[in-house]
Amino acid sequence: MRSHFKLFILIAVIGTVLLSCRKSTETDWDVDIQAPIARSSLNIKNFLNDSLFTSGPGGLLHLSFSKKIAGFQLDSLIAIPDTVLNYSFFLAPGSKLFIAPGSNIPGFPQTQEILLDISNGVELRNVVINEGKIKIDYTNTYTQPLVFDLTLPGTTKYGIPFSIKETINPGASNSTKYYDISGYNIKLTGTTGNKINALVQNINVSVAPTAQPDTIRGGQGVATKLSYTKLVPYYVEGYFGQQNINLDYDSVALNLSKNLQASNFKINSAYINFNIVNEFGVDINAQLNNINSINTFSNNSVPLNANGLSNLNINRAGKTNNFSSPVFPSVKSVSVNTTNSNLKPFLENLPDYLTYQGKIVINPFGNISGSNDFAFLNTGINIYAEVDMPLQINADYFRLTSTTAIDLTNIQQIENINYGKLILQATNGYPFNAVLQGYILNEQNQVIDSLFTIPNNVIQRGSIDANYYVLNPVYTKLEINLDQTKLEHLKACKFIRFVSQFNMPTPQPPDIKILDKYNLDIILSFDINYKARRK
Amino acid sequence: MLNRFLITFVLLIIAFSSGAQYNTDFINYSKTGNCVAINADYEAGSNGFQNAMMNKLLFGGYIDKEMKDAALKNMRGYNQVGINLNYGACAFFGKKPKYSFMIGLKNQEILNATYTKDFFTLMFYGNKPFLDKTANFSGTNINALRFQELKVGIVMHKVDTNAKIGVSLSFVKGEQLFYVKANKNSSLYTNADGTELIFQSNFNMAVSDTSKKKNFLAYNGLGASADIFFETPYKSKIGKHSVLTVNANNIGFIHWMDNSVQYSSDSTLKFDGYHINNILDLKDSTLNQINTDSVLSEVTNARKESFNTNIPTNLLIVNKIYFGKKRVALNTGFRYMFHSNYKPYLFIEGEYIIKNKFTITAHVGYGGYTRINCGLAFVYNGKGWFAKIGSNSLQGIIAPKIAYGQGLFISVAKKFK
Repeated sequence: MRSHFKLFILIAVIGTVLLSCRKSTETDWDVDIQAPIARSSLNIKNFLNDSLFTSGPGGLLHLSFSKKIAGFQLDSLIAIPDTVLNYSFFLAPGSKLFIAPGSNIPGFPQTQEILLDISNGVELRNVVINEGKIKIDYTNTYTQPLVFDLTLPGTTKYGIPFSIKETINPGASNSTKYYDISGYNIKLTGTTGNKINALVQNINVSVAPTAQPDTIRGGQGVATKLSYTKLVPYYVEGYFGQQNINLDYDSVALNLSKNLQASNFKINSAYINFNIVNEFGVDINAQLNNINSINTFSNNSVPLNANGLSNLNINRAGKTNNFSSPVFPSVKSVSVNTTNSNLKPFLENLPDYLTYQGKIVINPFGNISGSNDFAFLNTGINIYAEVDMPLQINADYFRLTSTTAIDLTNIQQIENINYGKLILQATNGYPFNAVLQGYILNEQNQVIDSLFTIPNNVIQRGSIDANYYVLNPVYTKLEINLDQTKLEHLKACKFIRFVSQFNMPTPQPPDIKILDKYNLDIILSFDINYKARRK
Repeated sequence: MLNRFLITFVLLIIAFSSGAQYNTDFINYSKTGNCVAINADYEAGSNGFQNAMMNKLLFGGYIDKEMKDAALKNMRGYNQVGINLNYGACAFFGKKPKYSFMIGLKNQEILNATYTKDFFTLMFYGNKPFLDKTANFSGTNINALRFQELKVGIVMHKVDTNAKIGVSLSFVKGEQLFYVKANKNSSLYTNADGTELIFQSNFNMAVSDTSKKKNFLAYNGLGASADIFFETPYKSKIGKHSVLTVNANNIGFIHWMDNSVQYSSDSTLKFDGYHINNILDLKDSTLNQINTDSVLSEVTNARKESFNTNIPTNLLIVNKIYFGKKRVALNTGFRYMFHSNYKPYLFIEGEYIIKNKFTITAHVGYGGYTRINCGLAFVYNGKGWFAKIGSNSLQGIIAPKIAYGQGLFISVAKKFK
């Protein structure tokens, strides 16, 4: 029986091992698959930036947007510097002085006007603090606890003056404490009420009433270092001085399209409204110059020659008494159009950047408000360019070039494609042909192949009437043949550079109007013979 | 090729033989008595595609158009495919005159499916044949199961003088399950130019814990099953005498653990491409949306939970009639597997016994996962050893391009004295 059992075990083990060692196998066969990849209904807005367009009368598309090109806020106008004050009382060496508990230290109380050193000739009468702290370092070398009193009689919140009363224990050395003064209204008119930048404070140091009667000996005493630090105003009032604030030479991106090219591009009309918005309660004078249209793609620059931008007086803003929107801004608009300037060539340059330079003069006529200038936090002086360009245009062509990362090197399914084609079905509602091409780039950004075969890369324009209005969209089917060479190149694809060229009709028609209702509908699908695998 | 098949077929019909194996440990007991045995039983076939294609699917290689076309030519609306592979070892032992004990270990791998002609076409030809048509999947199901069992049993061999009754109980360890069933209206529509797909998704799916490795040690479910065997001789009007055998095995279930996943979906999914604002701005992120896991989780109601599945139960009834000096016998039989897409299988076998040691069996049957089956088996039954090798589906091996199915069974037993 035992030998039979051994045999059973042996056979079972050998059988299990043999039958478990089956090789993994791979079966493959070919299938024909036709399926969609992507679709899109493209308006010309999608080629650039949807938010830049509006639809005008008759459905004419306008390139229309407002862009802030320059500006500054309250912190550039007025800054309250940190102010540090030291107070001390130490008994002369060799002397003694008895001070009863509850009695003041000699030399205290003190009432002072603290002058805030505000630059640029700014004379403030009133400040509401948005955030800021008073920092005090305490030192007590006396044997008994001392009491430090600070009161700011002109600094109030809900009518109650700011006040602290701190007991400083014996032995305290540079013990630091912070006191929040955000939300406090500070009158800077001094003790007499007719001064400027002058904060009133009362300080008293006394022996704590609970202290043991003792004598201060030579070298003993008290010291405090008081700092008004990181004060950020919510509101300032006074006279802001005659300041010159330079707007240094700078540029602003228009985000039209960095990759838009046009040949012989002509516009019919356009305007730019330069709006200078003053949210400060102070008169200003603005000077704008060095405005250039920069096309970084063609590396071309066109300066704007327009009158009325070099000397602009803008009135002060008014108060609304509404906490959430506290000012009525004062706005000065200067309209630059194709008749009063060289705006045509300026915009026909298809700028992707605008440069500017300028200067803002605060209180150009002096203190004519009687020191009633004001400013709120988060308000400022801003300059906007409001552009409107109807797409009633002419050109030889437009060309959009974009390189996008499409990494196909890790898509193993491409390995399994035997052959096939990508199919692009387009229904073009625009009055111009579109010539498409996609260049396959490898890891080194080198072009290794192109998607479309010339001339089978043209999407035909819609059928048009004598005025070049589109009557009906026209359907075009383009095919990208996926032969083995192209598939090999696709497997090495890291980027695809798409180039879309929109050719205007020839001979040159009058200005073509691009209507909002025009669309280019695209469906991308594939029709492939694919190797299916079972591993 | 057809001639070769016909000749083989006729030869098989007239051949002589002895009983084949049907995934049961008891069926050889009347010949081996107490013994230790190893058994392996393999069958694979489909009534939808020929054996040449089955070979490619099982053993690898390229399925060419000729193979697919041959399958499609005779394919019905609904078709079956099944693969059963069982192997193990068992021992019958004990010194009692009326009964013996039995223990055994067995591994079972079962894959079976019903598929529509459209499903086959879509799988092997793609969706291009369905342009502007709907591919119907309703009723398609796939059931794949792998488990191991430890058996203990008893066989009473002198019931009512000569009848035998065998019973075994098994502890079942579930290793792997994959189940999917496409319900009514499940279909895929492709529009005329292939730019729109509409998937009527009405299916249920169950998968055992996928986080574990798939091997013998994977323990994803547990269950129990029983095998019942009954064999009795009786006097029949035809022949010398007859033996009736009834065997039912794999009567049981597996409880799949908590990490098993069930999916269900009943919705219409329309895909006409990813909608993008700017075709010139097609990026990796767009392509990466094509993620099968996320698509599956979006369209289905997936939940992790435990559940039970029935093990496909095998029922076999064989009636054997001996003629003359018991050198010739005729078997007629019926086989059915519950929960397994199996069609009722009827068969007839002829046996010829040479010198009481060798038996040759010829087998012809119809049904199951294939259509017509024919096979041969050889048995050696000596004093100390018993051996059997054969196939009930030789037709697919001989004429793989036109015939359906294949199979092989082997048993080797060392008899106890």
